[in-house]
Amino acid sequence: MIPRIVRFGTSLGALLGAGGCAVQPDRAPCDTLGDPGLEIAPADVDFGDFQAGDPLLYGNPPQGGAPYSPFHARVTGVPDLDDGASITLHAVDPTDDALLGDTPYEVRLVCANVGDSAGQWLGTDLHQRFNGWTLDDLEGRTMDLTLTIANQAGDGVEASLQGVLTRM
Amino acid sequence: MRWSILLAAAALFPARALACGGMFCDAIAPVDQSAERIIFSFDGAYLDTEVQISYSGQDDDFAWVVPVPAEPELFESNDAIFTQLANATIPSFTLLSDYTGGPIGCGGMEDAGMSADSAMAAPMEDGSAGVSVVSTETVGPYDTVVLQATDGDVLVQWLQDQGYTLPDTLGAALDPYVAAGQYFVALKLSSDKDVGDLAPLRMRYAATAASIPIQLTAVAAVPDLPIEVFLLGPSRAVPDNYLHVELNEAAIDWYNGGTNYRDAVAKAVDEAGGQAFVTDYVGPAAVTTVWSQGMVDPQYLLSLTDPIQWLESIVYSGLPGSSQLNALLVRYVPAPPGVDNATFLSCPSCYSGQVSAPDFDPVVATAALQEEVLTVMQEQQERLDAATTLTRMFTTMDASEMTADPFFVFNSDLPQEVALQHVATDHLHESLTGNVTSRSLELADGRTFRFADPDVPSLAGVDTPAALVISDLSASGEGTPVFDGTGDAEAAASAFGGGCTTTDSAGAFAPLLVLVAGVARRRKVS
Repeated sequence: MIPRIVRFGTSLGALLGAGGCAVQPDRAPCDTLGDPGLEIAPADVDFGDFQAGDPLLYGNPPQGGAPYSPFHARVTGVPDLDDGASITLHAVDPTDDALLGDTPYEVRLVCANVGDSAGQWLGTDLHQRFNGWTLDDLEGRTMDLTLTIANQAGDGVEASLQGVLTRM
Repeated sequence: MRWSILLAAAALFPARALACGGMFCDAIAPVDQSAERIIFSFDGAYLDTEVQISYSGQDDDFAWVVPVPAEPELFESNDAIFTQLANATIPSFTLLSDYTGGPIGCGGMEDAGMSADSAMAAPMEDGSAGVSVVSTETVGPYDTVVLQATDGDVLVQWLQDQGYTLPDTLGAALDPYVAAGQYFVALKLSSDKDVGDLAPLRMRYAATAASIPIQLTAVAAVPDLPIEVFLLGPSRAVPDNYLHVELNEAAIDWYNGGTNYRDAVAKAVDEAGGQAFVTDYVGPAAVTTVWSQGMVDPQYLLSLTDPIQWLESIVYSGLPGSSQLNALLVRYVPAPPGVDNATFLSCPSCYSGQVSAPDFDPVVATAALQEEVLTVMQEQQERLDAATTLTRMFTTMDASEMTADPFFVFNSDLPQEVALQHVATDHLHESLTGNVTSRSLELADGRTFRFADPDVPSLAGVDTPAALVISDLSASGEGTPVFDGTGDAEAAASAFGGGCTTTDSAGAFAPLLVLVAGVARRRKVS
């Protein structure tokens, strides 16, 4: 069973202090910390700041390819995502149920140990691709985006957001 | 560069025969001769993308396809700038030796250590349904076509019908680019050319940023494919949607000159999830010269009716070597039978009695030199001169990691200098009898690794991440650190014997160090 989004604010600062000569691993316990949870936000928006209905920027990638919209995500409570993560971005327009994009990724995530995301899995930006769509066709559409991230054992999390596609 | 597809026989893994083209190539370790190289020059509106194309296989099987975001101009390029930039920006790893003790008077130091001749061909005509031919022309050794399509499979089929050897499976990989209305540049060798004539290609097109369509590369990528990216622009360049890695210098094999650099980067990039770059160099773009006024005087060459004199005026001029230059020179002054071109061009006068070039015409040969080589290199130099900053980034990627195209942006907020020179110090101490009693390696950041066995100075057993810091960078600001391994790295040094216990080798030898200090010479050699 995939839980819906769980907002996470746990700081691992207390766990990360340097301890003289004692070996104090920098690696935060991403594998064990907290309940399964996933946050997603547009790449240009900090986690927690996005509100439903806000603009979702999209455009053409510099080197070609279908239009895209960039996001970032962070995961808690799912083990072994550094061994491999199956990621799916699924986007529809709820006004007419049009499929805007279905983008699968296979990546490996990094266990963050500094900053606001310490103790959570992070990766590169995630690009929702809009295959078959032009920039004009996408302008102003409402997008329901669902992100699913699972480890190789199939344990995963899912989160959604809704916004209005707006050209970069 | 296998930037798109060098496809032919499916299993073809093109050799990097041109990675260090040119007779004057003198790469210094640990330059990676097998790396795929690409140079981006951004002037704010247009992007010049120069790609080094490497391939080994049958002439007829060579095919190359790449998407670009706008209609491109195509030019033949030259290997020289790749070689010059690569050699001028090689990270170096120098181990200084700090020697104390030993018999008096005994030295103990060791230093371990389109312009192109592109002629428009027949006017384009619409191809079969679903394919629009934008232009066709001959660019250097290539027959090129720029086209658009409505479907990847249709595009592949059309190219196959035109004699391009491409796998059917390519269509799906092209679909996302087709869907966005992108242009495609397709190359094959002209009928009178062979793989020995391959030359880099320059594409100029309107763009907002530089990117590598790496997803297409996955079709024919070798494991841990090394990729070197050079970006010329107004400031330092950074990966926008890939992570950035700062390498842990404890992962470097200091006692062998850093020859494991590529492996260390591969490990660090893997720790960052496989989609990341390290920055090898940031600094002035004027790190090398590929052309300068007066380097070769065409007017003087016109007066040289002796082909040997003509050759030597070029090969000894300081003009950087390249495959294209070599090919042109021996086209007009062939090497004697039984003498390979490189040997001949290294000393033309050594073969003056054997050279046969009865039809040599300095006017014709010099005109070709000007058009095919000098003009290309002059334009390369102009792009170097126009840029404020050069950034060299490096990564290695497996095909399975090529799931997103990396974008690069310029960032003026970050430090505008990343030095090439990396230094560590090998601390050796000898007893009065000449035996090495202790040895440690001190990295530039102060971490010290004390070796239990002074005769075996190796960090191979150190349990430490290869990525010291992993960051998420963008076009502004200093970026967001994702992973900071400095604590781990320091702990690893401590655990290795860096002074947290009194039972390690250093502790055991401490009294002796004090004793020896009175008679030892201390030297440091760079």
